[in-house]
Amino acid sequence: MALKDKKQERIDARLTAEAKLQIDQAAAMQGRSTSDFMVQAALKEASLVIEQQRVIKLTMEESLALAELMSAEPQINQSSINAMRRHKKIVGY
Amino acid sequence: MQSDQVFPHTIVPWTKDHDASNFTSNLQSITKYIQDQAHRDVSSFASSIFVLTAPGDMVIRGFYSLSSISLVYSDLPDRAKKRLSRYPQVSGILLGRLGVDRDFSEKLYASSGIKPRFGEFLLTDAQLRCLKITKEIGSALLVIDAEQPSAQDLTTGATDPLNFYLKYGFTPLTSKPRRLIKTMRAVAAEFKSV
Repeated sequence: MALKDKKQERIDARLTAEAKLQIDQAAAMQGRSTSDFMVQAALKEASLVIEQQRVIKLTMEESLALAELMSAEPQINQSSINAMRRHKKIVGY
Repeated sequence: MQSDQVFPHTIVPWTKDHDASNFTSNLQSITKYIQDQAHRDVSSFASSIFVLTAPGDMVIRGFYSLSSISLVYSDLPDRAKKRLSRYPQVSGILLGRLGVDRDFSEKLYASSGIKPRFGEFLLTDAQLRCLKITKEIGSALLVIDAEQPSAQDLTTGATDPLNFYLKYGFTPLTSKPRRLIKTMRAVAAEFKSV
Protein backbone atom coordinates (compact mmCIF):
# COMPACT_ATOMS: atom_id res chain seq x y z
CA MET A 1 0.00 0.00 0.00
CA ALA A 2 1.30 3.42 -0.89
CA LEU A 3 -0.34 5.22 2.02
CA LYS A 4 0.97 4.72 5.51
CA ASP A 5 -1.51 2.60 7.46
CA LYS A 6 -2.33 4.03 10.89
CA LYS A 7 -3.79 0.79 12.21
CA GLN A 8 -0.60 -0.75 13.47
CA GLU A 9 -1.79 -2.68 16.52
CA ARG A 10 -3.63 -5.96 16.63
CA ILE A 11 -5.59 -7.90 19.24
CA ASP A 12 -6.00 -11.68 19.24
CA ALA A 13 -9.08 -12.85 21.08
CA ARG A 14 -10.13 -16.41 21.86
CA LEU A 15 -13.83 -17.09 21.69
CA THR A 16 -16.28 -19.97 21.15
CA ALA A 17 -17.39 -20.93 17.65
CA GLU A 18 -20.90 -19.92 18.64
CA ALA A 19 -19.86 -16.40 19.73
CA LYS A 20 -17.74 -15.97 16.60
CA LEU A 21 -20.66 -16.95 14.39
CA GLN A 22 -22.95 -14.48 16.09
CA ILE A 23 -20.48 -11.62 15.72
CA ASP A 24 -19.84 -12.51 12.07
CA GLN A 25 -23.58 -12.48 11.41
CA ALA A 26 -24.13 -9.14 13.11
CA ALA A 27 -21.23 -7.56 11.24
CA ALA A 28 -22.51 -8.96 7.93
CA MET A 29 -25.97 -7.55 8.62
CA GLN A 30 -24.40 -4.08 8.76
CA GLY A 31 -22.14 -4.75 5.82
CA ARG A 32 -19.02 -4.33 7.92
CA SER A 33 -15.99 -6.51 8.47
CA THR A 34 -15.93 -8.53 11.68
CA SER A 35 -12.74 -6.78 12.71
CA ASP A 36 -14.20 -3.28 12.21
CA PHE A 37 -17.39 -4.30 13.99
CA MET A 38 -15.54 -5.63 17.03
CA VAL A 39 -13.24 -2.64 17.34
CA GLN A 40 -16.11 -0.13 17.11
CA ALA A 41 -18.23 -2.05 19.62
CA ALA A 42 -15.34 -2.32 22.07
CA LEU A 43 -14.49 1.39 21.68
CA LYS A 44 -18.08 2.37 22.43
CA GLU A 45 -18.05 0.28 25.59
CA ALA A 46 -14.62 1.58 26.59
CA SER A 47 -15.66 5.23 26.44
CA LEU A 48 -18.73 4.48 28.57
CA VAL A 49 -16.63 2.73 31.20
CA ILE A 50 -14.08 5.55 31.25
CA GLU A 51 -16.78 8.20 31.62
CA GLN A 52 -18.40 6.31 34.48
CA GLN A 53 -15.13 5.65 36.27
CA ARG A 54 -14.79 9.25 37.40
CA VAL A 55 -11.29 8.81 38.68
CA ILE A 56 -8.63 11.05 37.22
CA LYS A 57 -5.05 9.89 37.62
CA LEU A 58 -2.85 12.94 37.72
CA THR A 59 0.62 13.16 36.23
CA MET A 60 3.45 14.26 38.52
CA GLU A 61 3.30 17.76 37.07
CA GLU A 62 -0.46 17.97 37.62
CA SER A 63 -0.14 16.52 41.12
CA LEU A 64 2.33 19.18 42.17
CA ALA A 65 0.27 21.96 40.58
CA LEU A 66 -2.90 20.78 42.31
CA ALA A 67 -1.24 20.23 45.67
CA GLU A 68 0.21 23.76 45.50
CA LEU A 69 -3.17 25.21 44.59
CA MET A 70 -4.90 23.34 47.42
CA SER A 71 -2.53 24.69 50.05
CA ALA A 72 -2.20 28.25 48.73
CA GLU A 73 -4.46 31.14 49.74
CA PRO A 74 -7.60 30.96 47.59
CA GLN A 75 -7.78 33.40 44.66
CA ILE A 76 -11.13 35.11 44.56
CA ASN A 77 -12.69 36.15 41.26
CA GLN A 78 -14.62 39.41 40.98
CA SER A 79 -16.86 38.25 38.11
CA SER A 80 -17.88 35.31 40.23
CA ILE A 81 -18.69 37.53 43.22
CA ASN A 82 -20.80 39.82 41.00
CA ALA A 83 -22.59 36.77 39.63
CA MET A 84 -23.29 35.55 43.17
CA ARG A 85 -24.82 38.95 44.00
CA ARG A 86 -27.12 38.72 40.97
CA HIS A 87 -27.95 35.12 41.86
CA LYS A 88 -28.83 36.18 45.39
CA LYS A 89 -31.20 38.85 44.09
CA ILE A 90 -33.01 36.36 41.88
CA VAL A 91 -33.16 33.46 44.31
CA GLY A 92 -33.59 35.63 47.38
CA TYR A 93 -31.67 34.37 50.43
CA MET B 1 -36.95 50.97 39.21
CA GLN B 2 -36.56 48.41 36.54
CA SER B 3 -35.66 44.98 37.76
CA ASP B 4 -32.64 43.44 36.07
CA GLN B 5 -34.49 40.17 36.14
CA VAL B 6 -36.13 39.67 32.76
CA PHE B 7 -37.80 36.40 33.49
CA PRO B 8 -38.78 34.82 36.78
CA HIS B 9 -36.88 31.55 36.94
CA THR B 10 -35.89 28.91 39.36
CA ILE B 11 -33.61 25.87 39.45
CA VAL B 12 -34.99 22.55 40.60
CA PRO B 13 -33.91 18.90 40.47
CA TRP B 14 -34.72 17.21 37.14
CA THR B 15 -37.72 14.88 37.13
CA LYS B 16 -38.97 12.61 34.35
CA ASP B 17 -41.89 15.02 33.84
CA HIS B 18 -39.59 17.82 32.71
CA ASP B 19 -39.64 18.51 29.00
CA ALA B 20 -36.42 18.79 26.97
CA SER B 21 -37.96 17.95 23.59
CA ASN B 22 -37.44 21.45 22.14
CA PHE B 23 -34.26 22.26 24.01
CA THR B 24 -31.50 23.39 21.67
CA SER B 25 -28.07 24.37 22.89
CA ASN B 26 -25.38 26.07 20.81
CA LEU B 27 -23.49 22.81 21.28
CA GLN B 28 -24.99 19.67 19.77
CA SER B 29 -23.39 17.43 22.39
CA ILE B 30 -25.26 19.33 25.14
CA THR B 31 -28.60 19.05 23.32
CA LYS B 32 -28.04 15.34 22.76
CA TYR B 33 -27.14 14.80 26.39
CA ILE B 34 -30.26 16.36 27.95
CA GLN B 35 -32.55 14.70 25.42
CA ASP B 36 -31.04 11.21 25.27
CA GLN B 37 -28.78 10.45 28.19
CA ALA B 38 -29.83 12.58 31.15
CA HIS B 39 -32.62 10.32 32.35
CA ARG B 40 -30.31 7.27 32.36
CA ASP B 41 -27.66 9.08 34.39
CA VAL B 42 -30.19 10.27 36.94
CA SER B 43 -31.94 6.92 37.37
CA SER B 44 -28.63 5.12 37.86
CA PHE B 45 -27.47 7.83 40.32
CA ALA B 46 -24.45 8.49 38.09
CA SER B 47 -25.26 12.22 38.00
CA SER B 48 -27.71 14.67 39.46
CA ILE B 49 -29.29 17.13 37.09
CA PHE B 50 -30.74 20.52 37.94
CA VAL B 51 -32.95 22.35 35.50
CA LEU B 52 -33.78 26.00 34.98
CA THR B 53 -37.50 26.64 34.42
CA ALA B 54 -40.12 29.28 34.99
CA PRO B 55 -41.66 28.57 38.41
CA GLY B 56 -44.25 25.82 37.99
CA ASP B 57 -43.36 25.22 34.33
CA MET B 58 -41.91 21.89 33.15
CA VAL B 59 -40.08 23.14 30.04
CA ILE B 60 -36.32 23.00 30.49
CA ARG B 61 -34.62 26.31 29.61
CA GLY B 62 -31.21 25.36 30.98
CA PHE B 63 -29.53 22.69 33.08
CA TYR B 64 -26.38 21.47 34.73
CA SER B 65 -25.23 18.07 35.96
CA LEU B 66 -23.17 17.18 39.01
CA SER B 67 -21.37 13.99 39.98
CA SER B 68 -18.51 13.04 42.25
CA ILE B 69 -15.00 12.63 41.00
CA SER B 70 -11.61 11.77 42.48
CA LEU B 71 -8.27 13.14 41.46
CA VAL B 72 -5.51 10.74 42.41
CA TYR B 73 -2.03 12.15 42.93
CA SER B 74 0.99 10.46 41.41
CA ASP B 75 3.45 9.52 44.06
CA LEU B 76 4.68 12.94 45.16
CA PRO B 77 8.27 13.32 46.36
CA ASP B 78 8.34 12.89 50.16
CA ARG B 79 9.20 16.53 50.80
CA ALA B 80 6.28 17.74 48.72
CA LYS B 81 4.01 15.19 50.37
CA LYS B 82 4.83 16.46 53.84
CA ARG B 83 4.39 20.07 52.90
CA LEU B 84 1.36 19.83 50.62
CA SER B 85 -0.87 16.88 50.98
CA ARG B 86 -1.68 14.34 53.62
CA TYR B 87 -4.08 12.48 51.39
CA PRO B 88 -3.36 10.37 48.29
CA GLN B 89 -6.28 11.88 46.43
CA VAL B 90 -8.59 14.88 46.29
CA SER B 91 -12.32 14.38 46.14
CA GLY B 92 -14.24 16.81 44.03
CA ILE B 93 -17.50 17.50 42.28
CA LEU B 94 -17.62 17.31 38.51
CA LEU B 95 -19.79 19.89 36.80
CA GLY B 96 -20.27 17.51 33.90
CA ARG B 97 -22.43 19.53 31.56
CA LEU B 98 -24.10 22.91 31.55
CA GLY B 99 -26.40 24.19 28.84
CA VAL B 100 -28.90 26.90 27.95
CA ASP B 101 -31.78 26.79 25.49
CA ARG B 102 -30.50 29.14 22.79
CA ASP B 103 -33.82 30.12 21.18
CA PHE B 104 -35.52 30.94 24.45
CA SER B 105 -32.63 33.00 25.69
CA GLU B 106 -32.31 34.91 22.40
CA LYS B 107 -36.02 35.65 22.24
CA LEU B 108 -36.01 37.00 25.77
CA TYR B 109 -33.03 39.21 24.98
CA ALA B 110 -34.69 40.50 21.81
CA SER B 111 -37.96 41.35 23.56
CA SER B 112 -36.54 42.88 26.74
CA GLY B 113 -33.14 44.27 25.68
CA ILE B 114 -31.69 42.78 28.88
CA LYS B 115 -29.28 39.86 28.73
CA PRO B 116 -30.84 36.92 30.57
CA ARG B 117 -27.38 35.60 31.64
CA PHE B 118 -28.75 32.09 32.14
CA GLY B 119 -25.32 30.51 31.71
CA GLU B 120 -23.94 32.65 34.49
CA PHE B 121 -26.95 31.98 36.68
CA LEU B 122 -26.57 28.20 36.22
CA LEU B 123 -22.83 28.21 36.87
CA THR B 124 -23.27 30.31 40.00
CA ASP B 125 -26.10 28.15 41.24
CA ALA B 126 -23.95 25.06 40.69
CA GLN B 127 -21.04 26.53 42.65
CA LEU B 128 -23.23 27.56 45.57
CA ARG B 129 -25.00 24.21 45.58
CA CYS B 130 -21.62 22.46 45.72
CA LEU B 131 -20.55 24.71 48.57
CA LYS B 132 -23.68 23.67 50.45
CA ILE B 133 -23.11 19.97 49.67
CA THR B 134 -19.60 20.13 51.11
CA LYS B 135 -21.08 20.94 54.49
CA GLU B 136 -22.54 17.40 54.42
CA ILE B 137 -19.91 15.52 52.39
CA GLY B 138 -16.45 17.01 52.22
CA SER B 139 -15.33 17.92 48.75
CA ALA B 140 -12.41 20.19 48.09
CA LEU B 141 -12.58 20.88 44.41
CA LEU B 142 -14.87 21.76 41.55
CA VAL B 143 -13.92 20.18 38.22
CA ILE B 144 -15.18 21.06 34.73
CA ASP B 145 -14.28 19.38 31.47
CA ALA B 146 -15.15 22.21 29.11
CA GLU B 147 -17.11 20.88 26.16
CA GLN B 148 -15.31 21.11 22.80
CA PRO B 149 -17.51 22.78 20.16
CA SER B 150 -17.72 20.66 17.00
CA ALA B 151 -16.89 22.12 13.59
CA GLN B 152 -20.60 22.24 12.90
CA ASP B 153 -21.33 24.06 16.19
CA LEU B 154 -18.86 26.76 15.18
CA THR B 155 -20.57 27.32 11.82
CA THR B 156 -23.87 27.94 13.64
CA GLY B 157 -22.36 30.63 15.84
CA ALA B 158 -21.36 28.72 18.98
CA THR B 159 -18.62 30.26 21.09
CA ASP B 160 -16.09 28.16 22.97
CA PRO B 161 -17.40 27.60 26.51
CA LEU B 162 -13.80 27.51 27.77
CA ASN B 163 -13.66 31.33 27.89
CA PHE B 164 -16.91 31.46 29.82
CA TYR B 165 -15.52 29.26 32.60
CA LEU B 166 -12.18 31.07 32.72
CA LYS B 167 -14.06 34.33 33.29
CA TYR B 168 -15.51 33.03 36.57
CA GLY B 169 -12.23 31.88 38.07
CA PHE B 170 -11.84 28.34 36.83
CA THR B 171 -8.29 27.54 35.79
CA PRO B 172 -6.75 24.78 33.66
CA LEU B 173 -4.94 22.02 35.46
CA THR B 174 -1.67 22.19 33.50
CA SER B 175 -1.40 19.76 30.62
CA LYS B 176 -5.07 19.48 29.65
CA PRO B 177 -6.28 22.96 28.76
CA ARG B 178 -9.97 22.02 28.78
CA ARG B 179 -9.94 20.43 32.24
CA LEU B 180 -10.66 23.26 34.62
CA ILE B 181 -10.66 23.40 38.39
CA LYS B 182 -11.59 25.78 41.16
CA THR B 183 -11.05 25.11 44.84
CA MET B 184 -14.01 25.01 47.18
CA ARG B 185 -12.05 27.40 49.38
CA ALA B 186 -12.14 29.96 46.56
CA VAL B 187 -15.90 29.51 46.16
CA ALA B 188 -16.35 29.89 49.93
CA ALA B 189 -14.18 33.04 50.01
CA GLU B 190 -16.15 34.57 47.14
CA PHE B 191 -19.46 33.77 48.79
CA LYS B 192 -18.23 35.38 52.02
CA SER B 193 -17.65 38.69 50.25
CA VAL B 194 -21.08 38.78 48.58
